[in-house]
Amino acid sequence: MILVLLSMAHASIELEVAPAVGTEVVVVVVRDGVPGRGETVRVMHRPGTVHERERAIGITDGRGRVTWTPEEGGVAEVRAGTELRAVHIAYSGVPATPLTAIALLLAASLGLVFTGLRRRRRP
Amino acid sequence: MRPTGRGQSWWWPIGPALCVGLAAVPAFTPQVLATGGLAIPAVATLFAVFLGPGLARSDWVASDSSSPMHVLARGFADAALLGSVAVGLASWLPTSMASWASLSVWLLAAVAVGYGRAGLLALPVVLGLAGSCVLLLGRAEPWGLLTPSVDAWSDWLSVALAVGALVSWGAGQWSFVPSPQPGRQSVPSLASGLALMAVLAACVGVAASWEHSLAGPPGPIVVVGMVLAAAMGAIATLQRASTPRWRLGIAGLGWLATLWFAGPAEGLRLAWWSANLPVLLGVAAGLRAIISRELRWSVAAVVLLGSAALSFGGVPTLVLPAVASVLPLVFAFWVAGTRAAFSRAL
Repeated sequence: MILVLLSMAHASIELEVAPAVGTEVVVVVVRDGVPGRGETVRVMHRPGTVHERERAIGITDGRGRVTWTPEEGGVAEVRAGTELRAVHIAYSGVPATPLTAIALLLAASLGLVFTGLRRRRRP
Repeated sequence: MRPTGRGQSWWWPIGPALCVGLAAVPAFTPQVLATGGLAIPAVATLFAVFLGPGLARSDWVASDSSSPMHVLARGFADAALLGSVAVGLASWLPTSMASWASLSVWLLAAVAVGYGRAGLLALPVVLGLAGSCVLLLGRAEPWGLLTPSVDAWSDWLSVALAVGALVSWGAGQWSFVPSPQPGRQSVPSLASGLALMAVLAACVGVAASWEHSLAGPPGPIVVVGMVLAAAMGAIATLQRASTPRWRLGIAGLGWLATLWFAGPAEGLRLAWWSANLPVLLGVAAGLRAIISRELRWSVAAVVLLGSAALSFGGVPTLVLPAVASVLPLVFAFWVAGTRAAFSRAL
């Protein structure tokens, strides 16, 4: 198994693969070079915002491992005890809601621009 | 050819008007954007489309008046604009360089205004914001902060209305316009459209940068874009000064306000966008409404929009009762908004 270390050299939370929505990923907690057993691992989505939401992933086994299947994309913090590491959870696709909002807002602003450019008769 | 008047091209007022609109762009910090996502610029766009052009047109003719009520309304608008620029600069400049960088911005803005037509610098800034948005989109997906949300609507609604007022209404009320000229009725729409494009580009750029830095500090591209937008707001503020000496005085005041918001009043930045600015704009609009009868439809639409916002939480959950309860309000807003937008005050 290829262990991809996404954290810094001294970090104690590691993820085997880059997290993505709907894809199972193994979180490994290491303390002082040994697996952290019985650690409660949580994830905080959108940290530091009014919409931040915490979810429990699970408790690490004897090898300091717990599996996690992210349900929502974006920035998140994986936490185990006092340790935390920020990760980016890849989206499964382009979300329809913000994309639609962008399209509508762009259309509105372009509509105003073209209205402003339209030739009008002198009153 | 477009009709021109008194030796000036029809597009000349776009620059100063766009500068006022760009003063609202730095409001979109990650903290503000996180409260409502794209719902914030959406409401701002609603305000700008229905109310902005009408307000701007009707105010176009009153820019030269020196009556006490006009001076008072203009004073509130001055304070709103200067404060927005100061908060914008304080929000985006790193603390370590806030003092000399903000001094540079205000001084350069004063020098640029002295050369005349500095407002046209806003056009390349809009293009730059759009370009940086595309660049940042290539680095990270911005969806986290952009997802529209109305759960915390009370946190962002006033911000959205204030932004909408700045990007549109400023086209008439707070522009340096020598005198009304024919052929300019469409200019507010053009300025509002470009300002809204800048707002949208800034939102997408901020969201992409936030994701790329894993909720860390914003990247240099975003910071530069926001500071440039605030600098355009500084130009709009200084263009309102009647003499060069007064202009330097306002620049000094703006610098001090920036330092205040960067230091002792750091905790008041969010309150500025959500409370102070809407109140100042509301007072200015109220005074204008008293002065100008042409604003009555716009005022009616604002009141209806406010009613809709305040009553949003009480709307029934079932579809038919919900439609029945909001339909009269929507219809009334539509009538007032369209009458305001298509009013011909000139």
